[in-house]
Amino acid sequence: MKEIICDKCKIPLKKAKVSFRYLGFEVHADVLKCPSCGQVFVSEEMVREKVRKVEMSVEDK
Amino acid sequence: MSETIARNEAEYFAKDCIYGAKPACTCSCPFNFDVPKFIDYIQKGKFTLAYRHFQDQSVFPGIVSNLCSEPCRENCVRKDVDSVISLSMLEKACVEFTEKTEPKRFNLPARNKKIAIIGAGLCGLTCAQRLGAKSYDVTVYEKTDRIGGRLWGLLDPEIFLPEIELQLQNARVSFELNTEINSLDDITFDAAFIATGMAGDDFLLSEGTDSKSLSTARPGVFLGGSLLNTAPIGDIGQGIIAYHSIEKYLKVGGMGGIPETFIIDECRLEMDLSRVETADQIRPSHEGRFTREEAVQEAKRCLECNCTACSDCCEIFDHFKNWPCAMVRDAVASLHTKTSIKEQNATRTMNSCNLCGLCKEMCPKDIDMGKFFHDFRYFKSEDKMLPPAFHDFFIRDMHFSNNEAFFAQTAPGYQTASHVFFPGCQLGASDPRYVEKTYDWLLENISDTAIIQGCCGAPADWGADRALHEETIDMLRNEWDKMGKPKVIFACPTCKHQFEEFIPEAEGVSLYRILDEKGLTGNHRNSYEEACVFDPCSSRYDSTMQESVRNLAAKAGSRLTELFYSREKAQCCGWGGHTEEANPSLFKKVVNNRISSSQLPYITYCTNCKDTFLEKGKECMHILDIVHGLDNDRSGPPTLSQKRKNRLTVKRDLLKRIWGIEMKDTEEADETVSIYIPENVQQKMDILKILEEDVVKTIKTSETSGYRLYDQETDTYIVHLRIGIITYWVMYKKTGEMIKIANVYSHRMEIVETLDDWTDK
Repeated sequence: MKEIICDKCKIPLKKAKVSFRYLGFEVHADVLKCPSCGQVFVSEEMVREKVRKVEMSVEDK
Repeated sequence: MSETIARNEAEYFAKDCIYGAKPACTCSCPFNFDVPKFIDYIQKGKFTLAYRHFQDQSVFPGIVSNLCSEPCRENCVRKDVDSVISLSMLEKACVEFTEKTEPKRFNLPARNKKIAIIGAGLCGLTCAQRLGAKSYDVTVYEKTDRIGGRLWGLLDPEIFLPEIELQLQNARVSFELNTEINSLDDITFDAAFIATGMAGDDFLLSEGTDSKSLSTARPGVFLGGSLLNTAPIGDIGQGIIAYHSIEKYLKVGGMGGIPETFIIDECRLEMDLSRVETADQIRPSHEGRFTREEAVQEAKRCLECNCTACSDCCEIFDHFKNWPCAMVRDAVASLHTKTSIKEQNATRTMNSCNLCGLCKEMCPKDIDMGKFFHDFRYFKSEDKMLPPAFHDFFIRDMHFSNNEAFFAQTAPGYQTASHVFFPGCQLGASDPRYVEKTYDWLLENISDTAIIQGCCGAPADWGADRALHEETIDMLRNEWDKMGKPKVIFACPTCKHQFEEFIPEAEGVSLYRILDEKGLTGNHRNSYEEACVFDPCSSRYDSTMQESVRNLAAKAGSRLTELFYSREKAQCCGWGGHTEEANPSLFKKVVNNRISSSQLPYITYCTNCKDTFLEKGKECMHILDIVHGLDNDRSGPPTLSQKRKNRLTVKRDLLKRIWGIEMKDTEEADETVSIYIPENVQQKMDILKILEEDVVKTIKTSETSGYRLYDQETDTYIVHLRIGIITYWVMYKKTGEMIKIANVYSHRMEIVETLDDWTDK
């Protein structure tokens, strides 16, 4: 299967727990991350399905 | 500058709001019958539910429907349109058509409280039914040998006796007939209700009885009914109040009753009947009674009186299903719940308001929710509880306008000016020709006219950034001052409004007034044959500007039709107050409603109105399109990125052509990357408020640092960068030095990454 790779380290990304911060709140989610350099990938689908909802909910608190 | 609301008085801001106030019919009714809810059921043909509601409120629907003398007829507002609603006939219809008549059964355990009710007339029976249904131990003492009191002289006993039996079937009530009570000390009770009727024994307690709660001077004893000169239906109202007051007394000991249950006979509602259509009263066809269909039709004539002046003119109230009083309450509460996990939408509500002030104009009590939300944004901002992302794009855009795109020049050969043209930030952004051709014309007609292209500060004010707003106002005042305090010529009504509020010493005039006075430029084009002028909301109280634009349009050949919401009732196009970022769905709804207000094309004089409408496909021109004879064949407004370039174009062109000054190209540094953005991606960028420069910066930063991802399946690079408070994601394909953007998106949450030296600070 053709994967998304880290172009800097030339290795495939792996699922890892990553923190997100917004307006003083911190949440964690599993996203793809380079095991070597640590850069992450947040897909548009995740932004639309999850990130946006969390943003709305934090803004409404 | 208008006075700011004091935080400690904010909760009273909408205290005069009459939304939900009892309508005239309810206030006329001796038991404050909730007519709108009753009507609502009948309108839907739900006669059983209508009966249940009527039963809950009147206790004896079969008696009330026969005894009711319709005091509401006197006050029904429909009488000023055609004829009143036949409420008594509707009551009879619901009694006739209901499928169930059994009263509620509460299934409560017996309460160890004895209630004495003296008098078995309608008042005493009403109180007895309510308390008995709640399982209090109720004894009704009646000196005669029959129940019903004065009903015997008013109705056929074949009607009222079965009804009393029906409604008391689930109540714990016993009767002591032929029992005259001479002294309250002769009976034992925890609470008592004296309802002995006209000329009945009041046990010397009438005097001093509180007419609201029906409490007497003796603890636990209440008094009401025709002892206090009520009409027969008033007995019902007082019986219900006595029930509430007694129950409160038994539970908490107070004699003051429950204010919410007291009878309200003064109607606070004010109804605007100007748009009510006439509808003939329905005549009963069935032996003087309504058929089901006739009852439904008659109920549909009811105006269901309520004040909806604000929600009729603005979508925010329906969107949040909330009303001024509740919005104020929620906003005040939100100031104290910083760490609450409870979801609330007060912050989103206050940032969803266009701040246009139309609600105040339409409100019979002059409540200005725009003012309230404006000031509350500042409160939230001071408390660091205003999500910056709601206003970030607009504040960045304002920063651009007042830096890279800003210029201030006196006319060639002049050190000062009698007039200065202030096109604002969006006029040139929408079309550079609006500014350039207007300034050329002004120089021809008023040769010492200076120009200041910049932002008036409205975005900082709407985004409640006080420091930035004050800084902007000071800067503009200073520029204006340096030019010798000239008269300011405004093209944008929002700029004019901002100056009037924050730099009131600067005398202003609308460009359109000058154009109207001088006559058309001669280069004008024909206007639409028939059109509506869409007044920008910020022109609300500027009738001169509104009139000038109409004159110009008419001179250019337009036959004008007024929109219902125009002039002082002008509605916001949706753009005001930056609501799009806080509430995209409401923004869409507002824009769609505005463009649907008339099938005719619009002529406006705010570029935000024009571009917002063009974006949605509405035929629309700016009055300057007509004045300067500009072709308007673009399919839509410029993109956000193009709007920035347009402002630089105005600056570059005018500086060079009029003053011979070459402008340094600030964008030059970013031109080393050759980037192609397909149209569909550009459209998406506009929706997401992503600028070309954000995309370029994201790619360049990642290309330099080497931090990028590669999607093998699509042969696409993926990069991201946090600029300010937004994280931008860009996907692109690369062929040599050519970059083609495949996709973009963004989010507000910050990813906590451990990478160094690559996140833009």
